[in-house]
Amino acid sequence: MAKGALAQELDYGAYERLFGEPVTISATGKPERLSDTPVQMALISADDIRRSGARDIPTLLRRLAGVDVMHGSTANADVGIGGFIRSLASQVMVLINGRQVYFDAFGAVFWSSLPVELQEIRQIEVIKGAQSALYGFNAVDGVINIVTFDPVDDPINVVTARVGNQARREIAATTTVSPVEGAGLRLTVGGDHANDTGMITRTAIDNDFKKAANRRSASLDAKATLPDDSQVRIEASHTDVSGRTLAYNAFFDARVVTNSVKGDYSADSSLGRWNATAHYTTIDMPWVSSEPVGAQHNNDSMLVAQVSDLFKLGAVDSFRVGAEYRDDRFSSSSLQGGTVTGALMSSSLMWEREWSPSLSMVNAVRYDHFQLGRSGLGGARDFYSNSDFDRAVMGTSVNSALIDKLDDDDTLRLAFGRGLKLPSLVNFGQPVRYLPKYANVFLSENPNLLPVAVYDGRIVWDRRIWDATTARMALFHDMTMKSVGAVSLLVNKRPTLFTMMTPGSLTNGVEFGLDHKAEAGWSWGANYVLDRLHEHMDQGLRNSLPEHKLNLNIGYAWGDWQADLYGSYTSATKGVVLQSGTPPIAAVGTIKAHSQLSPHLAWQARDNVRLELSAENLWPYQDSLLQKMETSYYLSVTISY
Amino acid sequence: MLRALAVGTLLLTLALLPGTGKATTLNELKVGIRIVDFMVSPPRGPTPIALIYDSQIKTSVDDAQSLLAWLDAIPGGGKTDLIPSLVDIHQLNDDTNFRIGFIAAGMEPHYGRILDYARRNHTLTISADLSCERSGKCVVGVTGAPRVEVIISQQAASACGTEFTEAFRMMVTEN
Repeated sequence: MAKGALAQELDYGAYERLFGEPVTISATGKPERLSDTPVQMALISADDIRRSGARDIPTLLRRLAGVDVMHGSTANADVGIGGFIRSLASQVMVLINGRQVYFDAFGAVFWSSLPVELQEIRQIEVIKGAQSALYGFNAVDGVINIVTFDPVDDPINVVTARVGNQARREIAATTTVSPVEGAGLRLTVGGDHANDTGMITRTAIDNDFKKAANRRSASLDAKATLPDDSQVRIEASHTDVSGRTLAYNAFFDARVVTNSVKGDYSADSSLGRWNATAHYTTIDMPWVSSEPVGAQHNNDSMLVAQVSDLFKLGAVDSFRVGAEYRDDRFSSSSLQGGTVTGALMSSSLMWEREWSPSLSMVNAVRYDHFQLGRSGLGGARDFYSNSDFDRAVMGTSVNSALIDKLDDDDTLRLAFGRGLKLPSLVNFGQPVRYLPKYANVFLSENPNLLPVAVYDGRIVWDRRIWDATTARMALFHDMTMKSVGAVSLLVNKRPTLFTMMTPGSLTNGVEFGLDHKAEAGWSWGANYVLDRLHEHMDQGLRNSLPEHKLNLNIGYAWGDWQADLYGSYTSATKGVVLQSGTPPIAAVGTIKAHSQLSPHLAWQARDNVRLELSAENLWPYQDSLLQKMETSYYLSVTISY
Repeated sequence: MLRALAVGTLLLTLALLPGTGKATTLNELKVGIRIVDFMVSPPRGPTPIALIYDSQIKTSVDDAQSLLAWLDAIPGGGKTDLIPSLVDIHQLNDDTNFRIGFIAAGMEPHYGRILDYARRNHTLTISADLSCERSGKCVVGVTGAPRVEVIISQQAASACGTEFTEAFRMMVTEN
């Protein structure tokens, strides 16, 4: 099972004011300055978000070097790091304030279901490379941690409304109250609607899948500092999202409802800084309707409990020890009342040593024990009994990194990671029966799947060229030993698809970046990534990764005005789509090279009123084989109070 | 020639005495006073902070007056409301207990005396002259450029009974 959350109770604002740069806890599990992190990290700040004109998180991420975004519809996207990207098959761990929003059951992140609005985000931290020793199974290509403002130290009161073409209408409101000194509560509600656009119709029946994108969300974040300076934080959220998307090479209409509650307690003691966290999340899909499979009802619940201690021994050695328990339960109408379960226990250790003021090293190791199980009747045509699911999977992850501050301007980072990707509960235990027009074929579950090892190595050189101007060059090599795939076999003379371990892949790449940020005057940036994916068994996709990706941005701020232009180029790649027939056809097609241009103009009309005019995709482009991204225009009004 | 050599030797000597007379910058002051928030059991509410200077050294007097003016001008922002007072080292005694002391420039001859005071009064002493921290006479040394650095003397902190939160300790240099 994927797992995550590190101790997150860090007063980001106070430390940022002290050191004059962002701080993070995501890289090693210990608090550190961004310039001190030994891993390859990119950070999107609240200011970056404000100047971006972006409406959603995937749009922000797409502008970073080495982050791939693939849209299943205008409202749904998948995000990959380091080359691998497949619909609803994430290898990236995503967290909100340390709470995992990667769903173990589905092996996916439902980005449109994240219970967070852009206006309440302090920073988005993106770590590249395998990080399983800190985050457990599934953080194999990277980690994205979304950090919101602190309800005590960063009170925000803001309403944002947005209207645009494609019947777009959005509203988000955030208010913070402080009932007593040292305590605060932030409440956020949001609602979005947009018509479904951009579907490249291939068959008449595809037209049945055109559900408009609707989203409702509410979240609460409360924190209090107790008289002994320990801190308690409670977060709760609800989202209800419906719309059309593309997944597993087929069209889906779905409604996804999530609920979560999280409690967190942190305290300093003579034995270090303790943190205890528990969170419970449910995800309900009352209807998931897809062209090849028909309608299903799926739901899942996750209970996670974690405890960690962070302490420093002497002047140069820091440690973090942690333990975690996770219980995950997935059920589906296709399981006829049955439930697939995963119980995970893990322990981890991180050690950081500061060899000198310029040289430090971090090592981390983690052991996971996962117990699979199943109850109930199983699928209609089942090859396995419940006892076949009574098995355990174990694995060890490691991370090691070195940071050398060569001089005042140059920093070199060397990082190695061995991560583990665990198959999802759907992979393990959900049989699927395709509809007659898709040959009535079965996709069998497989409880004997194994975790996949991913090895990642990278060298990163950062250089400060002038004040506020930085350059980065990175080389990386990523080796995925196996993947979860499907193999067609004849069972009793009948074709059956079996979920099995299939050969893995290799990715090599190089990244260049330049960045200049300024509150007034010119800001600009450019990044380029060349990465090559070689899939040992690519099912005809022929290594479907755009090799060349270039992002450019330029902006100018004067007085109450800001103007920014974001552009990107992505080279051609391939995609696959499932077409009906006997047997069903997985048709491979070319996705042409494309460029995107997104301008943004903002005017601070009054101290508390901001008007923004933005456009996305001035040149419509084909994002995946069946999805075209149309031009959208919108006007946003933000009122602070 | 001899004169040039003498001047050069003097300049070199001054250069090798880090911090001697170097005026504190505004950024160093801001960093210094923000550290208070990361103490274990930090003072809350109005808290006196001593700006310790030597009335017989002009650079020290000037620096202390700059510090006072800045502290009066900059908004609090922290959790502690610091009330600054100029304290001449020659009048520093235990009659007044300052939990926070910011040491002005040019105080190197008095570091030992300041440590004695801090030890008796459990004072967090902060200096922008890193030689004070390096010699174990001040609890914290700060720099503001080219990047912010906070360096804690474990020896002085222990002697003065000053403790910092675990998270803070992990982000600074200790020696």
